[in-house]
Amino acid sequence: MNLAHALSITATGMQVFEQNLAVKAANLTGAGVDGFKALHLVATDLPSDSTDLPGTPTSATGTIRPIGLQVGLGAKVVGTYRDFSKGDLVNTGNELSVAINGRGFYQVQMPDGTTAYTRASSFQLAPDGTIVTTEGGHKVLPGIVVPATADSLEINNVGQVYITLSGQSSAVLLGQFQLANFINPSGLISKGGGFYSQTDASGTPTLGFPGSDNFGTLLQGFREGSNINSVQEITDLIQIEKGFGFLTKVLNTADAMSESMKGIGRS
Amino acid sequence: MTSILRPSTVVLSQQELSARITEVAAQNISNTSTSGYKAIAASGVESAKKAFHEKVSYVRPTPYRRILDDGPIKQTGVPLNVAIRGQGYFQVKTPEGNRLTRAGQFLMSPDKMLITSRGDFVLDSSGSPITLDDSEDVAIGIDGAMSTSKGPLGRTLAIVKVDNEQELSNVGYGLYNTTQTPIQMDNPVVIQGAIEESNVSPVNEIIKLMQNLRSFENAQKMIDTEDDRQRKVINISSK
Repeated sequence: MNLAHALSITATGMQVFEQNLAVKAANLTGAGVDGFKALHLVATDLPSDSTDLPGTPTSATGTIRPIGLQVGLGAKVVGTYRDFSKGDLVNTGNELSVAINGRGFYQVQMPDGTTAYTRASSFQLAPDGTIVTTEGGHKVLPGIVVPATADSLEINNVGQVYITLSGQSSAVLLGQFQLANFINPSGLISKGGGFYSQTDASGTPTLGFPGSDNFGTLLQGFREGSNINSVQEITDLIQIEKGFGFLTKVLNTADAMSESMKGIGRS
Repeated sequence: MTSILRPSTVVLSQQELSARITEVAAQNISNTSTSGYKAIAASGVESAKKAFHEKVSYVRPTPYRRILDDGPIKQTGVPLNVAIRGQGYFQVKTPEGNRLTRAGQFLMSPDKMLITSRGDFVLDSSGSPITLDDSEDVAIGIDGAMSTSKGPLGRTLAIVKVDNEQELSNVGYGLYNTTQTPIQMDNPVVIQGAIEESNVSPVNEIIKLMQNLRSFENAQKMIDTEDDRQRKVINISSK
């Protein structure tokens, strides 16, 4: 009897739904987070353990089995990948909110000396005037320092930072932001706080100024929201809930079948 | 002389089929979130009578049939997600040899190859693995032709078909093996930025499961009655 088999297959399916639920929880939690990128779960079916494969000979005269008898061992999660499509741009009016309209990541100097990459584009000024990330206060490369005497701060679409000093009419160029691009952004790993670090899978970053080949332009006064499609996430949640319920039904059926067999021989 | 055990063994053959049907429902419903998964269906046939005077025949499970309907399309907007509508399979190169698959959640490997989520190489129409320059700057046409913002790549995704799709053997991970020679399709329908979801209909599976439970219980009733009858016979003869 294959009832125990049915139970173990059901368990694998429940694990996939559980994992997917965790992914949806992460996505919906990140829906309000600047620069948050959606995660997608990849599930696959497990190989069958059947010996009745198609094509096995059924006689010595060369006839073969046209189709096999195989069920499989259930499902499993292969992994998750991140969707780096652009989130919605939201107007903030803040001169230090500079969204990337298109591809690219800001480079951020982490406390351990490594470079991290982020799309979260609301910045702050450190006490010494350095432009830093809101999360963690890490220096945004190349480390532009805005003097306290600056009257206004202007960042154009190619990332040049201009200030006007009080009492002066002409703007002064302080520096230019440089963006990093990856051939395979899905290979980046998340370090939390909206920061990503490079891996062998992401490849090494290509650096370039905003607006140049393959890089997005900067948009001052805007921040990039998450790219979570909440309606899609909720629809997926409903499917997970239903799927889990259906699997419970399979468990109950297999259980009822085993129970009724236990009655044999009792009288 | 008919064996006293015969009625129970006949009923048991039905129960074995019931157990298989439960197993299949478990497999199908477990894979409702597996992209490109095709549901399987279990059924049985009446086995051939062995001799003229034998009035009974057993239930014999037939090989599982694969349901080949398209799964629903889910838009993801991810450039390397590719779905096939209607007939056709992607061709991938695995360490075990070339395999077919409908699961189009492709990725780019560190060495810039187009791979499946398991790491197998996705092949083009000439049967060679595909190298990409950029995982986001790829356009795939309805016929599988690939291009970038710099122009056509001159490569087309292999979208192949086989004559007998039921012959394909599922080797897991969404991959199929075949003894037939796959041929490139003339007019495939490829959708970029979307995945084909599993074609399992959980409601249908549950209905089948319920019907199956009823026939299992009826069969069980038969076995219980038979058991009772045999006990009585033993009791009478031992008096």
